[in-house]
Amino acid sequence: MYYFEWLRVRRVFIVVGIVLAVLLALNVWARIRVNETGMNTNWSTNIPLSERATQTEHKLANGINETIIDDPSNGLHAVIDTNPSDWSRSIDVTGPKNVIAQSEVLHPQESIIAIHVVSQSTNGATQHVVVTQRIETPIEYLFVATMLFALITATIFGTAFGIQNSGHLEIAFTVPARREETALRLIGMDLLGILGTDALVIIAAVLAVATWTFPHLAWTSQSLLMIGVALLGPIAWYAMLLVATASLRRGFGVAVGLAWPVAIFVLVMAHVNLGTSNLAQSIQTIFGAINVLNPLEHMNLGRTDNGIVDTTGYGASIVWLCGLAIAYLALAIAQWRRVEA
Amino acid sequence: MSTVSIAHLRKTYGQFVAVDDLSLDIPSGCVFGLLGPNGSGKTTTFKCALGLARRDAGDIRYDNVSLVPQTFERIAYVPEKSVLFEGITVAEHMELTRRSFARFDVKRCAELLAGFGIDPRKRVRVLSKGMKTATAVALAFARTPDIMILDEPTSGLDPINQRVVLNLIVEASANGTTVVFSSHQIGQVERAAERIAIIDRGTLILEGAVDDLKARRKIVEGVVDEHFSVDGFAGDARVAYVEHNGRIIRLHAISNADDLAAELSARGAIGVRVLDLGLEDIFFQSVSTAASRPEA
Repeated sequence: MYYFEWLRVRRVFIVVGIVLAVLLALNVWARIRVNETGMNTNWSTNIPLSERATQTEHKLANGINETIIDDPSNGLHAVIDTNPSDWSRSIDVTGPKNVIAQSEVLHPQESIIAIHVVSQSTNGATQHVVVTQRIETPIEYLFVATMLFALITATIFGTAFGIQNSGHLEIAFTVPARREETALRLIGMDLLGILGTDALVIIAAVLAVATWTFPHLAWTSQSLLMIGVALLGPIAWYAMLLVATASLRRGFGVAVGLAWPVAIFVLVMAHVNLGTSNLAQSIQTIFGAINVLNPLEHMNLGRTDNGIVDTTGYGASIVWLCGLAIAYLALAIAQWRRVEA
Repeated sequence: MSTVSIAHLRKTYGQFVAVDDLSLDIPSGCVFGLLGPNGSGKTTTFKCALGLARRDAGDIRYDNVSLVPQTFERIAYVPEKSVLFEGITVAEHMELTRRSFARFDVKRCAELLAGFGIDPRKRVRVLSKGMKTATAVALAFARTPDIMILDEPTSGLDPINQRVVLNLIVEASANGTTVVFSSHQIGQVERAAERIAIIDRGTLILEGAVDDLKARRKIVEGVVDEHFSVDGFAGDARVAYVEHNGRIIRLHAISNADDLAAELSARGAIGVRVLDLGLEDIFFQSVSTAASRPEA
């Protein structure tokens, strides 16, 4: 039976592949347009320069693009070497401390720019700083992007048992395998489909990033937790849909379609301020309780506490998503094995 | 070599009794025809036998062993309605079956499909009803099973392919496969089946070897005068039922037809003769008799 599910997975892969190819093509087109319109894709150091400042650019023998900035008014001299192969750059700047402090050499605004201070020395009011910078993409960003696709494929695969129930149980239940085993094989194939979608989207996202800059993927302290949430969220969602449709012979497509508005409604009702009356509080409590079982509730990837990443919150989300996925899958299998042809 | 044993099977859907206390013993290597009017419980019996429907009571055994998942390696089932996946091709169905059953013979399946004139590259969606049936039959026979349960295996097929399926059944039986099949085409059952069972309203009303049933059951026909009373025959244990149309009387005998013919002559009937019954007549005779029974 898993072969039939594999055919479904393969079809979903093809569709996802086509969609990603179209998006990538649009991305490449946008990149080419940007080049044609002459937009500067080099990053600015935002070093405050006077009108007398001069800037010369040349290419070194090793292929490095070197920009030399001299600003006698400010007493500033900077050498910026940009490596075209990986888009990293080294900045060697000497000048007044207050001028350097105003620049973004040490404090880039873009959070995806990582800086590494190689050396820093101060001589009176003059500071000499050598830093390397490179654009880094936190790896979890890719997983956040993939979660949407994975949720869509999880929704498609959520009908796996429903499809079997709609007139094909005579095939599914007359193979030499226990029904639980057949169910697990179907689920395994669907999980492969969801995780495979994740992989396809990540590859496409890396390629998309690569059209703009060298894709330095950065691993941060919260990466693992956020990746965990991004991977487990669609799986828990799939498991919930499987429970909802495990014993349906028809209408499973509608059930899966309705799951979205219902889950979003429950999520909103659990969090929106309904007022302070007893009735409103009671309704909120009920929705809050139901919402705990809603995988969408635990897929929040922006958990911060006073600007600090809330790792405890992510950890709890992972535990919840794991628990929900396992419980829903067990329930779905228990239901499906009892369906009569 | 397999024996299928169904004992005291009962299956209800709510208040409706689909099968009631049905017992069948199907010897190994036998072609067994299950007959009955629409809604008589044939498909439900098959589904219960395969565990596809939960029985309320009764026992099903294959070679004296209860049904376990591994038994399905030896059983092939062709349901009455197509259960093939519409969106995939016949070839993909072959692959699906190959991956599920160790004994599936791809070459044999391809030959059978070619015999039915089916292109494996076609999606099931574009196949006619008969072609879907033929595909299911080909997939089942290519598994070289020990037991085949075929629910209307010629449904939608043209007469030529119906004949092909019947030949496959006979050939499989000759190779030791036990074949249980249902069909509304009684002529086909008569051609292929060695034993039959007739069920009506979920109850077994007749079972036996086709030749025995045909030998025992006869029609005793004669011409009588207008005032002839059937009372003496109507309650006779040897008579299933009596047809009396004008001056023609027909006694549907279930035993001792010659004695009945002699008695009918003795009571003044002329032109008395004993007619052989075909399976179709036996079927109608059995179902008519059962229909005259009060509802349970």
